[in-house]
Amino acid sequence: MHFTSKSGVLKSANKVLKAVDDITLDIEQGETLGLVGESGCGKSTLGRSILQLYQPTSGSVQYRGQDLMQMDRKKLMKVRQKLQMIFQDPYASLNPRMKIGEIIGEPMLIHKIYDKKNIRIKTEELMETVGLNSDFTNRYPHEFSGGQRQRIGIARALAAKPEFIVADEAISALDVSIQAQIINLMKKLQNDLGLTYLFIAHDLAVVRYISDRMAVMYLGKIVELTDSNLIYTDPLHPYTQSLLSAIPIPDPITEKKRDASRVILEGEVPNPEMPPFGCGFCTRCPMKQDVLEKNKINCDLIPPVWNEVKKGHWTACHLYS
Amino acid sequence: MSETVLEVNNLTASFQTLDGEVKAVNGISYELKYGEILGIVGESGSGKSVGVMSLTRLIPPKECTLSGEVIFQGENLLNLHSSDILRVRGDKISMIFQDPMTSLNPVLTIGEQISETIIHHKKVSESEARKNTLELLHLVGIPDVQQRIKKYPHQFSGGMRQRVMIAMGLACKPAILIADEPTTALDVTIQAQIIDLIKKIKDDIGMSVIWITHDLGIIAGLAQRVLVMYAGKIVEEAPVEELYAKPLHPYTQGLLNSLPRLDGSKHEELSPIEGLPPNLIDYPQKCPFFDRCGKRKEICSDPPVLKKTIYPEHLVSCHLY
Repeated sequence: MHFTSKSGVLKSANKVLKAVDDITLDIEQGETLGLVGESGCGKSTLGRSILQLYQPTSGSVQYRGQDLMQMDRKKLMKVRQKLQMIFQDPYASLNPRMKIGEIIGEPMLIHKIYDKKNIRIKTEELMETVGLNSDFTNRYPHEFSGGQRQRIGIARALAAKPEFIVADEAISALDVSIQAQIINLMKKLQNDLGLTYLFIAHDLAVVRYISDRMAVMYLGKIVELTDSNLIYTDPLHPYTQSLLSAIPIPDPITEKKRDASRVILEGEVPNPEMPPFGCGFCTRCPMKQDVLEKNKINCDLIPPVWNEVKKGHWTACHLYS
Repeated sequence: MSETVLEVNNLTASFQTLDGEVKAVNGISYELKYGEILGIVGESGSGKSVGVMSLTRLIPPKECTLSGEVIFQGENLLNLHSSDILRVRGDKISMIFQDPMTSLNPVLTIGEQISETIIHHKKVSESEARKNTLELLHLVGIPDVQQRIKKYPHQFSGGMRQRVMIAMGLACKPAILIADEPTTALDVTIQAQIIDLIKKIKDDIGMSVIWITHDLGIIAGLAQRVLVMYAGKIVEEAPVEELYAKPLHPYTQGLLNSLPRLDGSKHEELSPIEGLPPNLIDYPQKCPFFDRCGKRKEICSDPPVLKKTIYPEHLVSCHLY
């Protein structure tokens, strides 16, 4: 799957907000690509733009060689079956007035995957697959816990027999002990069904665990992309480094050792309606001065170029220009 | 100094619902020492928030019945007349909450809100209060204080609003600051700033802190002692290094094993705690972790008691010990 040069723009009055600014990404079949970033970086918008839930402003999104943005409604509808999404809010993403059997069966109906008489059986099978009791098809979403609702959301996504799933903060709203259950489930399903995931979240530890490769986003752009172990052992971009430094590790002895070298970023993310001219991170970057002195580049004025700095390890940063 | 600043004895907070009684907090006892940061860890429904809100009787008595003792400066706060508890709240024991947008007054400027606390408790003039407010805003790292003091909460970002709330919490130099999930809604890099701020200020003011969270990573780097809560009870209490190095209670062990760690192996499967927390309506007198515990024995249908172990200062509520 191949996505190139995309921009998603949300217009507000006369200002233009580039929520997703010129992103080029490939996702390989069977892999899990993790996408991390803090609030407002554009990761959810990117996920939705890829699935055409938002109409991207420009660019192309190619699924198995076909550009989704060039398709008519009918064709897109057909392809959509293969591209599904699991949402963040287990309370808002299920129709409260539908029984869960109907919620899970709906994609099967819409995409005509099974005959009406088989839908019930297949729904029950799916429920068992995701760890729900198949006796509960006639219950409503509010009768389930957050973790169970998330399983319903997963079952619904699987009902269409997809190949590609965007999980947009699919576990963030769940308690820690439940998150682990869902992570294990998603990994198992990927193995059993040969799924490809785009896993969007802000929790780096979780994303690293579940992903093969990881992309870090900041202010609408991807600032680093590499194997998920390398992101941790060899982070290149200063933003990635400070993100890692800020993440608490559940071990007091390790935490004490990290205190000495912790990078605490000053300030906040700039207003995306008025991004900096040069590198998006220049307003907070601890390396800016170094780059000016050693590489003689002014990060405020010149945007960095996306580059494969080491094999399989991409970043956009003047430190490596 | 290791003098005790707060003593909680057998605190119970019980709610009468249509379906029965729920003891959200079920007989908890602990002490808070001068200058320490006590972490309270638990997932949703563990009783950690109700537990601290009960300390200053923030839940209306019509809804919630409290029993037990909360001894602060020689008095049992639960026995104080309602006008007397108002003396304590905001002045000697203050609290900051998870969502600053809903806990700040949207129709007052931040200057007015902070000054309001100071004038009410310290009985100083408006101009004196304003001077203190400016100093406080500066202390918590808000830039352009002269301008910002006139602004409303909605004009600030999440991280900034939380700093305003901290300023309010510190306004009267309280003996105890209770922080209920203050960084859960914030980005990780902002969270690091806030944690850093609280650590610095705590020593300057000579304050004790109770920090509530579900995030075992934050606690590892912040707290000196930790209480683990489950279903309204304290199941384990220990100095922070002890808790992570030698967790005794099966719930604590389960929680630590279910976390994906940034510095951990990606190939080990996570071991989640199966099942869900119990329904607390008219909960029978047995160990609250009974249904999910892999190590349960017959004796566990009797309620265990929090007691000392062979490790100094490490208490656990479990029949295994």
